[in-house]
Amino acid sequence: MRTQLLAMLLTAHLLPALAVASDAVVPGQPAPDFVLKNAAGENLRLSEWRGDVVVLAFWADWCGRCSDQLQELARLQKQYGERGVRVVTVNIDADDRPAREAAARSGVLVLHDSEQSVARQYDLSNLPLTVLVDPHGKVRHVHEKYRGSDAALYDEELTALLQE
Amino acid sequence: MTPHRFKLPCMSGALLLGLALGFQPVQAAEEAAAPAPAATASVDSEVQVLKDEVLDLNRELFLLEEELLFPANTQVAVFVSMDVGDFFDLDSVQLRIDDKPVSSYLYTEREVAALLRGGVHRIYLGNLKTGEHELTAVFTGQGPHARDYRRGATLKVEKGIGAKFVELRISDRESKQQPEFLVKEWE
Repeated sequence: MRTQLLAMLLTAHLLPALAVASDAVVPGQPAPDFVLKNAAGENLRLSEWRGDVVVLAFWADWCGRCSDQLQELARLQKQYGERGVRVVTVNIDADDRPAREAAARSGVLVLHDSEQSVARQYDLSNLPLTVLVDPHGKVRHVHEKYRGSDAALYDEELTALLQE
Repeated sequence: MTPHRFKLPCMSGALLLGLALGFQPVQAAEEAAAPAPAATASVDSEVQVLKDEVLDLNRELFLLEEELLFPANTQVAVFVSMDVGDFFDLDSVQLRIDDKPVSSYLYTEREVAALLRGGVHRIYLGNLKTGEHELTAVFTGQGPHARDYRRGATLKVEKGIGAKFVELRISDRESKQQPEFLVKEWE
């Protein structure tokens, strides 16, 4: 009886962990840490923004939806920046020109992942990919692609995270 | 190896205690009919004890994992340290052992500040078989007058029985007004 109980407990506790092990970005799990350069050549590390809500968005120059989303991300930074929200975008183009131009134009923080190593860490398959990370460094929401109607959803999710 | 034989039964016990945490809601539900304040306080203290034991278990598992993955007889650890740093603004360190890249690390401003305050960063932990090995570190950053700077340093190490610790030290050479990069073994 005791052995069966132990087996049952182990199964119950280990199976969920195994089930999520293959997914890099899962709500409730720590966001994979990384360090990348910004347009000014400074190295910036995700874990150093613990304490802030981070909106992490992956984009590329050739992605049409991404440019729409960049405008929305600039609005989020402006609206929520002083309340502890940090918008961090990650450009995955091999060339650093789009990242530099976007940094100058949009006003949001742009990091450059030329080798796409961070994109692989985050299992990037659709662009844009947006990950909301809470002040404890855990993934809370994941959104793939972007529609205009997502703006209201971002507002709702950020407001809820800031109220926690 | 003796400590491992002792640790494993201990950890099994602690694991059971940790798993027993999963029963707390069930037990609480059964007792929900008439929760007495004293009983609640007792449960709280028990939960606290269990949490402490889970933390201890986690620490023991971490140490055990490190000992299993990197046994002392093959273990090699490489550390980065900085002294002063007026002539060099560190950006990254790439490490190669026997001409194979084993680690590459970009340092943030905060990490460089921590190194300058006396911190030491473990850039690599791995295994090497006994014998001679060549360790090469390439430092990139900005040197005097904010010029891009890239410099390598190499050390031949003799790996014997027992762990090997190597330090990559960045310091200033006042006489030449240049940074200095040293690779040295810890005795």
